[in-house]
Amino acid sequence: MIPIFRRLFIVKLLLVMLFISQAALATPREDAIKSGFLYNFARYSDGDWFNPDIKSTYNICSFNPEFIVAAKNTLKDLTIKKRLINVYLLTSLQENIVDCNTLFLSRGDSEKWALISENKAFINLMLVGEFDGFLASGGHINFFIVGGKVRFEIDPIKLKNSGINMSSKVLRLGRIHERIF
Amino acid sequence: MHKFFSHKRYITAAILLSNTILMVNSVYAEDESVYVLEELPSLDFDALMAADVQVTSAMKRLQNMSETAASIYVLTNKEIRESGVTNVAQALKLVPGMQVRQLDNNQWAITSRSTAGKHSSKLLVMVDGQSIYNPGFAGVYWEALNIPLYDIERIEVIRGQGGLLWGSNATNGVINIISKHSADTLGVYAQATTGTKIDHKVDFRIGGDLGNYSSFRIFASSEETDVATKSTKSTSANDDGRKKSVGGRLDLSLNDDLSFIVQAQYTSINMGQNLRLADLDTYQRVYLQDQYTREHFQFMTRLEQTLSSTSNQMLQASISSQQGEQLYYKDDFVITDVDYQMNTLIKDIQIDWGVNYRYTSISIDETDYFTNIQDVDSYNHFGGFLQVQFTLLPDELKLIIGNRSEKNSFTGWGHQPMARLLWTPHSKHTIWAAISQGVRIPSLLEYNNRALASSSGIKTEIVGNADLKSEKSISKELGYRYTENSWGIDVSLFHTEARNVLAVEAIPNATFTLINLNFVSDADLTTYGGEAVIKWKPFDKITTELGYSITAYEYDLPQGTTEAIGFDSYLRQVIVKSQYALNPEHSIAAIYRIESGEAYDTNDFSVLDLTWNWQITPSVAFSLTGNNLLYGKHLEYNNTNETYTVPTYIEPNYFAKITAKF
Repeated sequence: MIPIFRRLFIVKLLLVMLFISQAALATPREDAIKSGFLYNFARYSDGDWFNPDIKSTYNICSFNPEFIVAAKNTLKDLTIKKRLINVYLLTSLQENIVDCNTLFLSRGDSEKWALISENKAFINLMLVGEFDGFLASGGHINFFIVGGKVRFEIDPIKLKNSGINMSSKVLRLGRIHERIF
Repeated sequence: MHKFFSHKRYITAAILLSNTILMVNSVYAEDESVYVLEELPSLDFDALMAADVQVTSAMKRLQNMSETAASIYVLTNKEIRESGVTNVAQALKLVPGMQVRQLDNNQWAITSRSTAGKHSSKLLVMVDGQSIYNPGFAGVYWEALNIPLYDIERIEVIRGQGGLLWGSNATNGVINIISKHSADTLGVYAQATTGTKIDHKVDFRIGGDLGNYSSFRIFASSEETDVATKSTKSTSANDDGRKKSVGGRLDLSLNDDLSFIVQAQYTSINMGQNLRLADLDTYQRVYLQDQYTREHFQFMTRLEQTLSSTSNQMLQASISSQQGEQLYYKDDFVITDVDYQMNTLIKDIQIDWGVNYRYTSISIDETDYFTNIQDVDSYNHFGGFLQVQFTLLPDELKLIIGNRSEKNSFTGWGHQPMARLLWTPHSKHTIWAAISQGVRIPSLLEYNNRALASSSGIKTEIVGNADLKSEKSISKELGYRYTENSWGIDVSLFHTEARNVLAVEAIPNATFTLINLNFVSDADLTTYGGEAVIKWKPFDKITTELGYSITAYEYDLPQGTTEAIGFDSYLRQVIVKSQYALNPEHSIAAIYRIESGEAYDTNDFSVLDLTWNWQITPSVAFSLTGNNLLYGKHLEYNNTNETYTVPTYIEPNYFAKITAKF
């Protein structure tokens, strides 16, 4: 009897560990943290991608309505280079993204990204994503989760080509794309 | 082992409980509508890097400080680095309300809300959820704890009873050391330190990617320290030390929801100490110099899984080996731990539950000074906990109730129920109250050893007692927090009544040639006091903190017994901390501590620790630190009847440190 109870207990624990796994979508909190990172990426950047003398707002765009809600709450009344942040929901691929200063592509947007990145070289636009292969396909910064926390990998050369000089503080905190260590 | 599995009803209960949780979880876990967006503490880069993406956390650690109904303090990596401390024990001096006393240059007595003893602290200390408690004396060999400070993410300190979530022997508090994820320690880090007490200290770490967001780090360190100049006895000070460590951590990110951690560390120390022992022929007190060694090895694996946006689970298995050899005592313990924990948010009810099992293999070699009473070669304990947090009034009033029940080989079952109330009448004000029961299990030494004590010519032995009961303490706490943008206040009051407290009963034999000092668990102990912390940041460049704490300690002893740890006393502490960033390259950190009271049989003292940090280039930094300044040589611990160690005077010391990161 004793081994039966022991085995039952261990099997039960393994069942708990293995069989109730469900794919977790980004929570509002995760979206809020990521929008905070977008704010800091813009804050710690210099270059031609955003000129406060000719723009009245700093525009953060996304196709994801849930992200937009979280970002609007998180970034309310904040400014970049003394210009208010405007969080904008893109509703179609045809929409003009030229007015965006940061474009955030969620996990569910990988197909959209494949279409819009096909023939376009993005200048003066910070491209941030959260899915595998984003940097390899032309993105600048890609979020990933480790240890329950948001981390990011970054491609400083592509950023520079888009007119963005990211501060060394950000580069030190991120994982440099294709870095050995 | 068989005894454990004979408790079918408890295992059945655990299975039923997991079934229930699974059923409820499967119904509600995906219901996003119940999710309440938690406000982020700050949009500062460092705060975002530290923020968990989920409200619940698989690991045993604190959540949002303002939502915790306990007296807590978090030491951040930044504060640890910039304050110039060189080890974890010294870092705990930065926490208001922690009693951190040095016996000599290597040995420490640390606790909170009580008198600290080298051999008893009632303080649970964990590194990444793995207890580093030594079952021999129910304390921690702080000198053998050699975690690289630059790889510590934070140290969470809970003053007061934390037994429900963390485990037994947490009557006075919990120290939870959380190391950084290896993804945050990429590259090469090298550090060299030298000074008046540190002959040399060299630290090296290398970290790298393994693809698919997995990463690793390995580290090594070597340290040699010098002796003090003055001992309390005629024997010259002998507290030099050599310490070597090697370790590593591997974080495998199996996917966004499943991660696996493996970490290991080996530490070897060889240190000097002065001892007060009995002469084996005359039983007269003699003072001897000893060189003692310890080897500690820790290995831990943890699987963490996010089940849904509101639920996660963790399975942790660890093994730890602690071996030591000193003139009067040789021990060898192997401790195996298995822990499972699940955290779920169902509507507005947060449920945390878990089960744990520990098996300890014991080997204590008999010496002229130490013998075993019975043949005890193992010790185990197991149990589980359940904590439920109810929202009584949305955003305003929460009730947290729970219980941890554990059975151990020495004293059987122990229960640690708790109820806490958290009231947030305004976003800036938090009031909390708690009542809880804590359990302290007797150590092996108290249970099963016979130790020869020094005396004035009569053979005197300290005798363990297998009939000792677990110490049970009921603690009532009350706290208030006020948070503004530039300042905040945090006040906690406590009153704890403990029964079955360890005491010593002296029984001479008929011819008065032998005195047995028998351990008994018959005393009552009342401790009360409080802590207050005021934080103020008048400008971006200046951070200040004022902490005050007082602890009173009152025994109620049966006739014919005396205290085993501490005595009727009080201790008052004032700590003032300030950090000033002169510019991005230069900063100064100052910590001034005043300690008064007779709890350690020492004079009152006040000391200043001062550190200047200079970031020479983005990769290279230099710092200069002076510790224990202004007061001169002083004793911090003189309760010599509780330990064989003869204390030395703690002296001002200076050291310089250079750090390179690539």
